[in-house]
Amino acid sequence: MLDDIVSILPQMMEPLLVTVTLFAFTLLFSLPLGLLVAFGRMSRIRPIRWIMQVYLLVMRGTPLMLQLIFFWFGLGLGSNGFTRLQTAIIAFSLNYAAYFAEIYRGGIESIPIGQREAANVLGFSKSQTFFRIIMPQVVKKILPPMGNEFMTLVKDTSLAQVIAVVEITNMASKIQARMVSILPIVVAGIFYLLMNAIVSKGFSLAEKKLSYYR
Amino acid sequence: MKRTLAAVLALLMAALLLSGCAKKDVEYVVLDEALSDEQYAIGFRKEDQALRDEVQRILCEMKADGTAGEIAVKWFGEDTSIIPDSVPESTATDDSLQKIKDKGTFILGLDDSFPPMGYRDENNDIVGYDIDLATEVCKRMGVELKLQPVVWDYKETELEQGNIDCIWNGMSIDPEREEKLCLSEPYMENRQVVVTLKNKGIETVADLKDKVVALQQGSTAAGALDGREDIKSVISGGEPVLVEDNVLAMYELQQGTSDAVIMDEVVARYYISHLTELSQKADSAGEEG
Repeated sequence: MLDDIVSILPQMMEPLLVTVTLFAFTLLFSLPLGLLVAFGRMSRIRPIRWIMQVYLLVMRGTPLMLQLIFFWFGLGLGSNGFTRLQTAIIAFSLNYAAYFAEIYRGGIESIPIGQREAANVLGFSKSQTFFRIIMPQVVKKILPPMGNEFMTLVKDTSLAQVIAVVEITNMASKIQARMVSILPIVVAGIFYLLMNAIVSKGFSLAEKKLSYYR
Repeated sequence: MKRTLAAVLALLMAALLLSGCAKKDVEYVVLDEALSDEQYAIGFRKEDQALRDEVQRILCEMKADGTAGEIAVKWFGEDTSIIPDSVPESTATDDSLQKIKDKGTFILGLDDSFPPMGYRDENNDIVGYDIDLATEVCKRMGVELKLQPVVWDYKETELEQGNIDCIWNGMSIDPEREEKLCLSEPYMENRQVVVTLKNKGIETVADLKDKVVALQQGSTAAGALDGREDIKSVISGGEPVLVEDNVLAMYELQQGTSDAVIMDEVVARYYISHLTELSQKADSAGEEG
């Protein structure tokens, strides 16, 4: 049994890299994009606000799986030179940006307006107020919901298999077809568990580090 | 960290236990009577007649010089191929063949979880009967074979959008595919068979009355059962248990949650020989321990 597990491991390395790449690039693009969307959502210009609301509704209101199928087959990104993994990264980034945007907005709007007024009186510029005063507090507040999203993202990467991205779960079912054994699925599960253990540890460390006022 | 490790270990042990249970001493049988007969063919884009004709011509050539037979013996122990000896000269005038030769690669689309036609081996290479055939065809065509795993439900769309050049993966000929695709001549025969356990007391298809039948959803087996209303109406619940893939259908059988499975004969034979080998291995390991 143990040598069965050992024989599966090398085959899982390539898909593991795919999963980690998808995870990392999705965060790289969606974290800043989410901030832009959050600003748009809070914009004083009405049309921008409306557009962002539609974006949030569509991205959060339809299954990510369908979005993936739409990007690959509907928009035909494959025939336009994108690889499957790149398409998945685009779809994941746009989808996760919507969730991150709402988390950012929640954080930003939770900061009392009095702080902005005080900063204004003290002569801080708008961007100074945001980056020096608001953002540091927001980051602390949104860590727990962000941790949720990060962990969900680790698991959601398995959805990429609908456009034939060979990530961990996809590979596990391929190995399962050969071995006729449930073992590859268990190994895949352990991989996700370990990745999320790291993510969760990272977040609790970050929370500890940022709780300098307690 | 310690807790995580403990959790991982606990999971591992649970897995060992579970898979230990799965390897009960069971004897699989395939009923002689099949639900339907069908043939495998290679699918190309409707307009790619020239490419299809060239692949077909090479297959016939391989049949004539014995290469195709050798490949069949390697995978099935006997020459099961039904490739015709010759086909009429191609009259196609489209540029599909030239395009493949110009780009130098032939992209074969497959669901690489379909042993023994096309699947991943221990070294993560995609191997199988279809792959061996295609490798030889590409060699003779002077192009490089590229294997592209696709999701089976979307194979036609992948083909249409040009992500793959053909579907070559134990694909059964049916009227819908004949209309949508440009199919090769049949190259192998297949049947939809009933797999069951010896102790279930199912000896003929008629014995499926009131039995739980599992099969892969959207598979040819589902179509075959739909075509046999006399059987479908008497099985337990009047509907089969639809599972994600053939392996899960075999689990259903193994765990006793289903009494019989309907699937492709070639796949059934692979699984049965594989599972029997496994249980023998487990037995001998048990004796040693």
